[in-house]
Order: sequence, then C-alpha cells, then structure tokens
Amino acid sequence: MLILARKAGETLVIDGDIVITVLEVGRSGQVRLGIDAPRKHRILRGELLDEVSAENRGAAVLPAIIPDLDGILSRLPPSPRDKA
Amino acid sequence: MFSPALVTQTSGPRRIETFNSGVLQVTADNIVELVEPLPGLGPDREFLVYRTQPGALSWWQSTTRKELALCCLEPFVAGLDPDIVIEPAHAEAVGANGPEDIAVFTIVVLEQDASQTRTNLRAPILVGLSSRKALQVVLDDSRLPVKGYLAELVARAVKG
Repeated sequence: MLILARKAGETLVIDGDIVITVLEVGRSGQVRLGIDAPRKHRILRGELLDEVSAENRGAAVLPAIIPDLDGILSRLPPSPRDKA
Repeated sequence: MFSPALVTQTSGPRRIETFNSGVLQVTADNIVELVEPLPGLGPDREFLVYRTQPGALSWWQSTTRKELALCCLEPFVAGLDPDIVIEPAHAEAVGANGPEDIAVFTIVVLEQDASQTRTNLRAPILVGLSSRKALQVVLDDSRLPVKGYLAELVARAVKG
C-alpha cells in the first residue's frame, strides 16, 4: 500500500486522469474527498463493495433443499415481460 | 442473441455440467461472459444461464466449476419493477445498443427458510442481449436494498 500524507486542499493524481482532492478534514476524523475520474471508473465505498461480496458468497452456498420461490413469486400479477 | 436455456429443450455443441440438472448441451447464446468477475466469487467469468422451468428465475452455472452456481431473478420479468436506472456507462460496459438490449438479473441468496430468501437489487447483473457480456454493477441509489427479502418485495409490489 502506498501511504501519503495530504492536507485539505491537496490532491492525488492516479494514472494521469483520476484526481482525488482532500476537501476537508473534520474534527471527528471524517475526511471529505472529491474524486474527479472518467466515467469508466466505478467508485464505491469500500464497505458497500464488501457487503456485495459477502452477499455474493452467501448466494453461492446453496441450501440442501431449495426453497419454493415460485410460490412466493406467484403472488405477483403477470408481467408483460414474462417470457420462457 | 442471449437467451437462457430451458433444461427440457436444450441442444447445442457445448456440454456444461450443472450442479442440479446434469450435463446440458447448450449453445453460445445461453452463455454470458462477465466483463469482470463477480465480487467475492473468484475469477470465474463464463456462466451458463438456464432455467428449470419458464419464469423469472434462472441458474447461473460457472462453466469451469460445477460447484459454483447461483440462483438469479429477473426482477422486471417477475413483476417487481424496482427503481433500477441503468447508466449509459453501464450499458456501454456490456456492449448494449440501448436499454432494450439489456436484461437485468439480481442474485438471490437462498435460505432454507423461504421468508429469509433475498435478492440484491442494489447490485444487479446487467446482460447485453446482443453482446452476451455481463457485469454486476453497484448502483448509487441507497433506496435499493442489498438484502431485499423476496416475501417483502412481493408484498410491496402487490400492494402497489
């Protein structure tokens, strides 16, 4: 991991086209960051990605008996997009 | 053009071993290639998508690991109609020609207790129908649940 110290107002540039600006360092320790990056880069809070990864891993563990989801979904009115 | 295989009607040159339906003979149209692997699930990028019966539920089977299979839901096909907005950058990433060229799947976490079974509306998998490329995207809308309990989602949709 590359570790750098920055003050409010200072920036980091990654690969020439991603700019991270330290906007504010709050007294509570919270840091406000501004991120300028091309749209192709997806920027996520780390804890959200962790949560998605955990759910994906949970989805890959299949129960011994698959629950009847059709019973739950059958309560929905037919969708015009329903297809075989 | 991408279309999930239906196990009772499969035919094709590729033989893929599935975790619950034996070996299926499928075509390239039944297989998607992930632009990036699914977070948390290793490097697998190629998945066979098949259904055991018509409807909104499908199985995503890794073509390289029989033990990796996921249940997925097409929320729009099911009638849940979530507020999922696809950004142009996401559509471009899966090589889609436009919104009509995209199928939306959400990964289902199956629990023995069906009331605990849930789906991730916050991070759907987008599939370009023409390209057969797929990508799990994490949407900005915090109103979309990572853990959307199916029974609750259905109750809400029925209520309208």
